[in-house]
Amino acid sequence: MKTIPILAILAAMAAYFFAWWSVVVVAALVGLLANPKNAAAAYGIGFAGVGLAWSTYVLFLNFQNQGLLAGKIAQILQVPSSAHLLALTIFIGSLAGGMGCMTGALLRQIFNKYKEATA
Amino acid sequence: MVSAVVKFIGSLLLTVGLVYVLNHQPGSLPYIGKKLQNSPAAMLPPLGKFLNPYGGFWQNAEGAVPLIMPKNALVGLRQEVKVVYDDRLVPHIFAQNQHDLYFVQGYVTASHRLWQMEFQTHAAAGRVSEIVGSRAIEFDREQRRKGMTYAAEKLVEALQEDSVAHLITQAYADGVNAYIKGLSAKNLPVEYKLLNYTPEAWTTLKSALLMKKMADDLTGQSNDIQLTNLAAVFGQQAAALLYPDYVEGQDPIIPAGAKWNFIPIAPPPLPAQTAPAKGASGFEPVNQPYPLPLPAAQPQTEPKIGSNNWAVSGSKTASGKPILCNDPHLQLNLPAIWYETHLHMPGLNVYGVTIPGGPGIVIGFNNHIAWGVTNAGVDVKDWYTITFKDATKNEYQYDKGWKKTDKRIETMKVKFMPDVIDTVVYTHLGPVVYENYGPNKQNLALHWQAHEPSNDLRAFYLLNRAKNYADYAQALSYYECPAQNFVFADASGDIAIWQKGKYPLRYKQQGKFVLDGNLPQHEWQAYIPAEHTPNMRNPERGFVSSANQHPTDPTYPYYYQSNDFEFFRNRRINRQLAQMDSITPAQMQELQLDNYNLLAAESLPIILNLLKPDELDPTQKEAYNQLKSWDFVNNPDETAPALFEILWQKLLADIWDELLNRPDSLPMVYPDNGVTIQLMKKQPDNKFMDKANTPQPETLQDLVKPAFVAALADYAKQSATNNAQPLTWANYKATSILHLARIDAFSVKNLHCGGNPNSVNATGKRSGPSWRMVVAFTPAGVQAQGVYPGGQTGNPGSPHYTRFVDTWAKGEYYPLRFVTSPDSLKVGEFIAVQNFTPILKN
Repeated sequence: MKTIPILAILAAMAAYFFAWWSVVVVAALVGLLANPKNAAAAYGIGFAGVGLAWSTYVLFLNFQNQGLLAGKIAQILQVPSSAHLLALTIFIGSLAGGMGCMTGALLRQIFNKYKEATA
Repeated sequence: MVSAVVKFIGSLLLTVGLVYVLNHQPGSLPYIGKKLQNSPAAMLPPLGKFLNPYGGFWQNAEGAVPLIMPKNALVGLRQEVKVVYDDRLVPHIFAQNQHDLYFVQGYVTASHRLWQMEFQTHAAAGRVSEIVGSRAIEFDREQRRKGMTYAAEKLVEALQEDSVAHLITQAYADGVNAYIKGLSAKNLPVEYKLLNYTPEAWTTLKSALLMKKMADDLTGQSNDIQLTNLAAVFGQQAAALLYPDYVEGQDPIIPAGAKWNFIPIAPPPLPAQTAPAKGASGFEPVNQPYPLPLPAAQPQTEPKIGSNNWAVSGSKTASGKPILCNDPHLQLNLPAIWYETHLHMPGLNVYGVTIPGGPGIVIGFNNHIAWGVTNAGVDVKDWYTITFKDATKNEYQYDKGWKKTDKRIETMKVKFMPDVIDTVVYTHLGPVVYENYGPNKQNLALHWQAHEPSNDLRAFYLLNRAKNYADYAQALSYYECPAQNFVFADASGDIAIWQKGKYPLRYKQQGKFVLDGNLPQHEWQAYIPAEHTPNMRNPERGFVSSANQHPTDPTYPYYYQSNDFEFFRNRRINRQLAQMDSITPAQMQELQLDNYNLLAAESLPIILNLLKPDELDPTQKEAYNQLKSWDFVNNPDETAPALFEILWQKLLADIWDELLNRPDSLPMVYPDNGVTIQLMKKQPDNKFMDKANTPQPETLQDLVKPAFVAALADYAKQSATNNAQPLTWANYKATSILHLARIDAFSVKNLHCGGNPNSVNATGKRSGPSWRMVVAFTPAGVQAQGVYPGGQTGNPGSPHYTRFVDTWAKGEYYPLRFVTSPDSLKVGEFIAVQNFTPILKN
């Protein structure tokens, strides 16, 4: 169960230095290397790991800004409130992370199957 | 095995698809983008990129203390520069040489206002469609047809000729670019993220565009076409009555009766043919593919711009030294038009406000002098009919021959859409802005002083360094456009005012109506000598002032005109100043905040006199009494000013119904309110009082009661939607400060404040005092106070973004921290210090 915090840390580092979608690549790599038992488990790890990376930081940023900008952006995007905007932010990160991790794990499945077949 | 590969490929495609969609604006997506066209949904930011906490908009969510790097090493800097940000985030820049001073001014200003700087210059250049899509095409086309970039390019060439102007604009641009270079995607201003674009390098052309934008804002209004229409339909006499060259009762900037101590040069001869150049039916707006739509007749109730400034001499102040005040009234926007800055280097210590994008200080003070500006408003924008030889538009008729045109291809990039191309034809007079205009298919060329380059930057550069009246006069000798009234006071006790601008030497009424581009006599032949523009130093009465009124009485030897010389504020200011004595800075603030409505004081009694109280029902009687007992002060919580304003608008619409919504749809314009009031007073049965759509003839008497009844109904209706509370002046006016890109969430609406454009506190619905400054010279040095409706940072995610708005709305001021060294600011008076050091290149 250490995979989720490890992914969260790696995803945070990647997003800090690179484009936002680098978290998807990181999640895929983790999915590939950690070898979760099935696609659903992989999706869960990616979803939780990237979600954790995004939620901790976004909650901090929003807190020190006292929700000032979130309220304004929520109004622009026609999201009911800044809480909804926070949820949307975390959800998008999680969704992309889950997809990435699942893709990585499915690639691993091919290798696993290939090994089984040739063993 | 095969199923595993299929699963993987499926998942991979889904993931890549998801990332792709979240990384693009909907409008730029294949297939969907085309469907969305330019709907708001198409303009949504790329959600993954935008919502990413590590790089998206969340990065702009600043804390109360903004992050300012204490140390900054920059290529291009020559020596160390120290910047102290005071408790209101005003940068106090301490440099050791001129280059570094303007370099760091550019850097620091960009760090707070980059998006605004670029957006305003994009707007001036007609490049907004690049950012917001097709909804800005017409706006962009207008900017390009007006020749804004053409004028800015000419200015850049001229700036290069001047060593000072070139040095400071280039150093400033280098500083802005040093900031942009150090900017990572995550630190971009939030508007870039929201609209999904990135900043370009800053250039001197952008500074020039900004200066041209100011020239357009301040001299861009022109009613020549509307007046020509009026004269065509109602005759020259009506034009003279409605738009007189001089409104009786004026209190000009140079008081009536002044002697002119110069020998005037003769104006050009009156051409044989001075009647308005027009078609038989005037200039009717028709929507051809290219001609711009002219604005329909508008009730001119809220002038977009205006300003007050005055200086009182030591003979009238408590301290025995002069006090200078200035409040320029401009459209209220966020980020604010002004940015407060303090510039210091050996031999220079100047504080004031500047327009982000230009070097130096525009309104402010130093240890020796203070200065401020108001708009002169004198017409320097004329229209000429042009006759092309044929459809190629390669030649046009001129003085019995044909003259060649130039063409400028304008390519407008439009977000998510193909480019739009417009060819603008240039004559020797200027660009042909309107083509195939009206039933007579006329072409109108624009001749405008703003198209000419002028070294106004040098004027401000020298003002920043001026020590006395002689320096001030020398600085102003460089100033040409947009013409301003420069008020002046200095520590030695001098006060002065000078209307400075480059004006054509006109024959009487030249340029009041549309002119004939075929006739050389209709052209500008010469300019009024610069030293003959109206000015005054240390007058007997102990004060100088201006508020956009007539600069002189009719004895001034040169002809000039305006679309809207101010008639009310200026007289109120002069009356108040004349009766004041032992003046303190606090009393000057009070005058800047004066809500007395002279327009109401001069018009309401006429209206009430025509209402017969016995014929009113109880509700009407109550309203009548309320208006009767009103003291004409537009205080925010009073209801009478709102009722009066509604009534006044209804009455204006009835009096000038001939000019509005015409069946022939010719655009015309309301006369000045001062003219209307005089007509009401002296000619209540003038033919214009008649309502065009009724069979019987009306006089003012017949208009008043129905207007009053309609106003009450309207007032009741508006009160009903106002939480069923009686509508107060502040509610009615709902002063709003809108974000430059008109993003509601980044705007401040419905402020609680008094005044109206006719009060000294000229706070209207959308315009108002954009900077209030009171500078007092005292035996102990300069003491200044100021405030503007905004905040130093342009970041809507920072609490500093609207930091000054409430203070401004309440009519309070901040003391301006005019210090002489970076160490003079005490703990608590500043929030950050930033050291800039040069990186020396080998």
